[in-house]
Amino acid sequence: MALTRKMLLLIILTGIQSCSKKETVALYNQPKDFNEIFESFWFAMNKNYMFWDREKLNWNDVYTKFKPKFNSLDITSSSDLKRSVGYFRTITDSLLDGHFSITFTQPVLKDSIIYPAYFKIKSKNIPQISYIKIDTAYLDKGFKFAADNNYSFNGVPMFATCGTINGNILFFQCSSFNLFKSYNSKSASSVKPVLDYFFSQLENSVDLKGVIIDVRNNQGGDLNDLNFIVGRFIDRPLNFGFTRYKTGNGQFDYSPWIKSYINPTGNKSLTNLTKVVLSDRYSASMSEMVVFAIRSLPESFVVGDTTWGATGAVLAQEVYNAGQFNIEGFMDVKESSNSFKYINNECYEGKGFPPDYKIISSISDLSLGIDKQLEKAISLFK
Amino acid sequence: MRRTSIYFIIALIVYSFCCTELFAQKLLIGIQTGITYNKMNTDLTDRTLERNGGLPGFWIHIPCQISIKKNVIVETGIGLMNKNHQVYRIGKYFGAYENTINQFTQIPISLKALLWQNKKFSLFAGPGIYSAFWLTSIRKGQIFNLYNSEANPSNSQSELLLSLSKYEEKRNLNEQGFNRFEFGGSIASSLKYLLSQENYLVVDLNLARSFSAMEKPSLGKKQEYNTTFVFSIGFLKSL
Repeated sequence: MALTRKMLLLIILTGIQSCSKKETVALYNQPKDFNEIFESFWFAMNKNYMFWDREKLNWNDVYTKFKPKFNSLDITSSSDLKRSVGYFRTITDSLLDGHFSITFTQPVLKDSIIYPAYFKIKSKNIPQISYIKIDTAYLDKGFKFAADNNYSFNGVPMFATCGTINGNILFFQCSSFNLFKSYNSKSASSVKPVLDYFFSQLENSVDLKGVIIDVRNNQGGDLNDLNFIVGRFIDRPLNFGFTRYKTGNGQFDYSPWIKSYINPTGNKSLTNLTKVVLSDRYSASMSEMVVFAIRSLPESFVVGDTTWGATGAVLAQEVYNAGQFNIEGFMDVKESSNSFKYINNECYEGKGFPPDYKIISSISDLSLGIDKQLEKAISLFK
Repeated sequence: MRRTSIYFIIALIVYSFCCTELFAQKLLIGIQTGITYNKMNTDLTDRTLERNGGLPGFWIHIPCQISIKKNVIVETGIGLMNKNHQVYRIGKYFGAYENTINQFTQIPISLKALLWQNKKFSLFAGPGIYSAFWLTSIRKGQIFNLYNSEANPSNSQSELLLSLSKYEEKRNLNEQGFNRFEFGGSIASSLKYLLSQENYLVVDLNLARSFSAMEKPSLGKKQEYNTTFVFSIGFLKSL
């Protein structure tokens, strides 16, 4: 792996429910009927989707089976428009890509959404829990908290918390990953004070037993934060997995697997420090990258529940000629632009990364202010 | 297209036999080596800021020539040929590329007519066809790697410094629907120089285009065809 050239790109790693720049790559610029819509969708998926080699779905069979169905639909009929959503849902329901979603720009369908991974998790009645209020009770006095209204996720401003537990365990939690941007912004609501405290504790605290990083209910964000946060723990590039991209228009036109690195941003190696990551079913995308990266270091553990399973990144379509696309006037399709496998050569897309210690939170415990996942993490330092 | 090629080969052979009774055959065998320049012909218009490029390679060939009439020769032989090509990004993605180094064994057959001659030199030209078998393929390239980036603290707008990562891979040609047999047509010219009574120095120029695609047809996959320019030089000995 040699570095020959570097380039500056405006890359936005979106979170799992956020939306970024879309580009039209469809066969028809402005499809006039369902035949053209289906053809555009089928060909763009064929070219752009990253996981055809792992899917049980035969995409060629989809063409044969659904083309006549779409041909029979009338684009001026509201009931046919709604029926088409059902067809798209049936087609995409089993897709592994944890980022995959379809939102509709067609006015009649604007309230419809297809989001297989989200509905799969919801169907299992897995509660989405905000741990912040419960966990601050475990922190020593003087912990730091800040929220930045400039960066929000699903309407919730990004917040970060950092403090110590029992005086010698450093705890860091954030609700999404736009930390680097917030840190460098001139906004008064920046999370900079929290991060400065986190970094100074990491570098200067002499009796630190270890660190807990909590990415539960954190659905991702900006890729810059990978180096910005995990880079603090290393003093040389860390190979934590492999990634590959699409290199052609065919279903299986992939690049070889290329080593994935995190580059150091701190001044010393903290690899011997015990590190625990807290994850749950709503830890997605960038959060899963943090789980992978920390877990690939020595003396590290993952506590909580299996992650979401959205391990790719969502970029503008033109970067890799893959990933998300739109069909003008009808739909926006969001999907991964790359695929990632962990250092153990396993791809966790669609299934999530399992914890070392599986602890399921119960609503009854949490209502009593008990976070069993955090308590398990604390017990690992004894 | 394959059927057309077969018909053409049969026609050439039949024609050769027809002519042999009219003229005392002269058989030449030798060795030739040279350079190739190959480009993949395909439509990349739906790929943003991406282009096709040619790449050089080598060609080594054991030619066999037979004169079937005073002014007509049939040439065949067997050789090893590189048919390399490149796909590269332009604009803000400049620097990313993929070179594919393909090795074929190739059997051409061509029918050449004498166009010009003096005491030492003779110039032949004519059409031909070939069949080839794709032996190996290696792809080498570099791509902007998302997970080898550096944060740019001078600018807070989520800019990433993406590094180019190199890769190299030997492809398994029995997978992913590669079309290992290739058929194509060519147009060639040969300049022969008489060194001695039985020995010739020969310089060949050849332009070949495959009729068969590099991959088997599949829905949504654009077809790719090789176009190869060959310049070679060698010796022929009369038997």
